[in-house]
Amino acid sequence: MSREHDNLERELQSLRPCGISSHLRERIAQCLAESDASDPDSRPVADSQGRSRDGMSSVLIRRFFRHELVGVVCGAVAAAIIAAILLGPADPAVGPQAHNSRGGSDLSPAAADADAPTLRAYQQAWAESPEALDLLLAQHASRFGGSGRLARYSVSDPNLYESIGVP
Amino acid sequence: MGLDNWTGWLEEHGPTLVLVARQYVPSRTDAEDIVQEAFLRFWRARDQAVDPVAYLYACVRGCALEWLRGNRRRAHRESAVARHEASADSALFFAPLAQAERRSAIEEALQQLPEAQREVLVLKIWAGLSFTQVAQALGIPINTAGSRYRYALAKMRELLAEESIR
Repeated sequence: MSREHDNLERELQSLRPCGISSHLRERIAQCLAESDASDPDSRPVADSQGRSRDGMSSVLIRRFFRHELVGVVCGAVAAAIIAAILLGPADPAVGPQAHNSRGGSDLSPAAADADAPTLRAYQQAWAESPEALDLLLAQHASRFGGSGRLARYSVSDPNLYESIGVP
Repeated sequence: MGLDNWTGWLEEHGPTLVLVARQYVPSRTDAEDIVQEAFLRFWRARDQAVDPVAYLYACVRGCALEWLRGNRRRAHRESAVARHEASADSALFFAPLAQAERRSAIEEALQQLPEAQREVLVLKIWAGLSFTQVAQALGIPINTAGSRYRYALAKMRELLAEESIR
């Protein structure tokens, strides 16, 4: 009895079931892909091909750089504004004339005359006192860095009076 | 086999899964629909299975029974057509042409077994499950699986003997 069963078992085991269709394989692959796409959290943290982790990280990187780009642009604009504010008064192109032309409406003509290194300003200062002229010369020398023509003179220097037409 | 390689699982068990499903539904097309649903169900919960192989076959059986309940009325109406399709559709097994007659006799004898015996025989012989796995897949005691297997072999022998006499 047992031997007969063994023979029958061997005969049955020799029969191989028919294979599955390629259509079934494609449908299963499609369903698994759709379920992965619709529910990313249910996917394994890292499958054998590393697709899940790579997919999530690429999304996070894209989001990070999108926010980072906005931050960089805003920072650049803010830096440009601050630089314009800080560098504006120290701009070498901004001399007394430029200052007057830009801020002329805020300055009275007398103040503008007092600030400008003109012959009239020096004559007025000399008429007041030698100390006033010295003070004005020192102001102009400090404002123009000592590179100006008047910076080379002092009150006691006779060449100063010749250069400004004072006998 | 790793639990991350679904194509490996399908390659190894796919033909037997379809064979198991065809023990419940006559049409090969319906059997493949059942295998598709069962495999997806298995794949989503494979990490929780104590014995993944036994669970895979349990999924096929569960899906087949659900399919039968949902399609009972339609199945009754179309049973005659389906039986005809099943016989002409495709065979259950590969066999050389010289053994085609014997293969046909075995398939016919298999279909005449009681369902409880047939499903144990298919899982044991062609799926290669142990009695423990068969018991887990079918939700029955191990001893019951063993006795059903013995009855199934005896019945097959009897049926095939009758077939050879004819």
